[in-house]
Amino acid sequence: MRMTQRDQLPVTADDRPGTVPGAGSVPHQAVRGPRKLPVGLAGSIVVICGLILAAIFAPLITPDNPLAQNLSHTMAAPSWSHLLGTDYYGRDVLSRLIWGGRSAFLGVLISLGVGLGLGVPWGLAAGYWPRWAGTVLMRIADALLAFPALVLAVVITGILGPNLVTSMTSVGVVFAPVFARLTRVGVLEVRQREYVLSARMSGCSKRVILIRHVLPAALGPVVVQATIFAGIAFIIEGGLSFLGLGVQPPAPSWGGDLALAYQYILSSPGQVVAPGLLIAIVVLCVYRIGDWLRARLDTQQLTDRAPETAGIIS
Amino acid sequence: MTVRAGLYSRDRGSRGDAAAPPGGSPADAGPVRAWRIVSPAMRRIVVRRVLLTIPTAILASIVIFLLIRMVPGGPAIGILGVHASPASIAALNKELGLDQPLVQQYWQWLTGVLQGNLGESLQTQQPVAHMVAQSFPVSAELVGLALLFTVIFALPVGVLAAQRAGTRLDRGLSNASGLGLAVPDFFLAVILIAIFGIAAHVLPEVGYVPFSQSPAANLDHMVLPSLSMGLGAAAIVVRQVRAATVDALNGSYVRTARAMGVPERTIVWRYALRNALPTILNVYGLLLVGMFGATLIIEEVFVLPGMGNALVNAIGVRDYTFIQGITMVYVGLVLVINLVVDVAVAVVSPRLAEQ
Repeated sequence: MRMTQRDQLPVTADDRPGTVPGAGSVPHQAVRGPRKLPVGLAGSIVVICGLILAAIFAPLITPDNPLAQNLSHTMAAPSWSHLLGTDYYGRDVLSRLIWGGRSAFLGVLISLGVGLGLGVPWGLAAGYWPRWAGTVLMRIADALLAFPALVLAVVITGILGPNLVTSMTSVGVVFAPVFARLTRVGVLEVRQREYVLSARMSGCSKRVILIRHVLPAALGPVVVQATIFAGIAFIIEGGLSFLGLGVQPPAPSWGGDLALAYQYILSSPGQVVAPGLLIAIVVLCVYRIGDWLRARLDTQQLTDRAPETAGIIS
Repeated sequence: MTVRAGLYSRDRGSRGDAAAPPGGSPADAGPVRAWRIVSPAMRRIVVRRVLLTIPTAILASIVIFLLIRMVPGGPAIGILGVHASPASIAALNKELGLDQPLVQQYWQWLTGVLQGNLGESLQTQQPVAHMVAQSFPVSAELVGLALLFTVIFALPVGVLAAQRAGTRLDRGLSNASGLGLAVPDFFLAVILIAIFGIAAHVLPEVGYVPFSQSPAANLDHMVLPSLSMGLGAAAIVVRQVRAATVDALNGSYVRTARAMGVPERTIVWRYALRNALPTILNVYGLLLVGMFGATLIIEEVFVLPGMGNALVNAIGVRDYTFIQGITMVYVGLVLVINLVVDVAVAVVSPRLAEQ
């Protein structure tokens, strides 16, 4: 019994045994056996944090200028002076990947920011005024969801002009209706709860009710979806840069560098490995963290500990 | 057969309709009788779904129409460049009909679309509908093969994982599919080209041969593209099918069937899978839509003359009428896919559809 409890909440169980949630689902956990998440989770967090730090401090830690060409030393194999070799223009691959991390993380941040910034108020309004505004708003969401995500993102990018900000903003626009739907469902669920009604009765303004009482309780699924979209956004950022619609060369980006390496795949096929593998690893780590977050949020919702959930979310 | 009939009626009798398997019709009733029972309701469902699709289609068409006109400075400047003379811009605007009121422009475009006229490409001066008709079969073949791959290989694996839930095999499959979700399709495509095209030399790296010219060569060229699309999709299918089947296997009717000695294979493939089918169909619907989106990248990598490639090219050369037309085709595709999935779900599970 003690064993399963520790496994359920590895981070805090030992320090604060009183706060262990999820007692209700212990049998289920016991059947499944000890969770293996923590090892992979710690590794994932280390990888992501390390890459973020590397991206932030890129000017300090990169061994070379990512744009400095050396045409007498192109497509070089890894060596001590160039740990991951050099690309078609003789630029240091490692330095370019570290700098490329900047656009990758920034791009994902933009897309999630736009997606949440548009989608959450959208769903909030649709859920709180379900009759007219809600119907219209959800019809618009349906219309946007009638596009294949990548098609809409590419078309918007093509129209606004290809660069990192426009492409990832358009990805955010593609994400927004999904966030809107999730928020709306959550709001619809809680808006008739007693505490919301009593807040309304006691004369709270609409804004206070929406933001302080309705929103926190409705956000759980949105947070979970955001972690999934974070992983997808890395892939789309890479894909759009690969198509030449994201970061514009010669600026370094993972997808763009992969596209360049692909152009010369016949002469040196090994070049494609580093940028592609990096994207895959990052996405894997993001998903791992997302899995953990989802499991945590789900457990807490099962045991109906709304205050704790709200604390994690806000 | 008698065992199963007894099983069903007992399950239903003791727990009421709510506990009946969402699969709906009794397993021994046969498809013919089941169809006759649900048919009038089905017709209603189909009609309602079609009617619901119309406003979505209209709204989506407005979105496309407005998007094209959101080009900074207007499409004419987008095409001619910022240094174009005002006279040439005005001339092009007139040629494109952009000098007319928005509502009139939209109405003209919409009536054209409804008649199958998607406009003329700015780049090639050909009808957009004609160009789409040429590129659609390529994309459809690619997506179809990728989908076939997931049905043949991923679906049974997902069911297997559900049967062995919690075992080492299940965890291994879960990890493998997690990996499959994380690898970007374009990276997978490049790796497959490097391995099978360049290193092993067993398959052509890139390019396209029409099926009518040489079926064998056509399929040869399609193996790697559909595989790079299908492997990622397979990961999704394995996970979702597993989850849906695990849910179904937890149903009370499964416990009863087991207690009555119904063979496990019958339970899994006849009862559980049938109840998991609505979820699986929805997953496949989303997957299909996602695959048509993925053609943008896969066709670019493999130089296939499909719709995705055409759209990416059109964006490169700012062929706005083509972008507008082909995007509408994509929307139509998605709406048809969603419609078919909803109707299929209604056929499989009338109880779900009634809600």
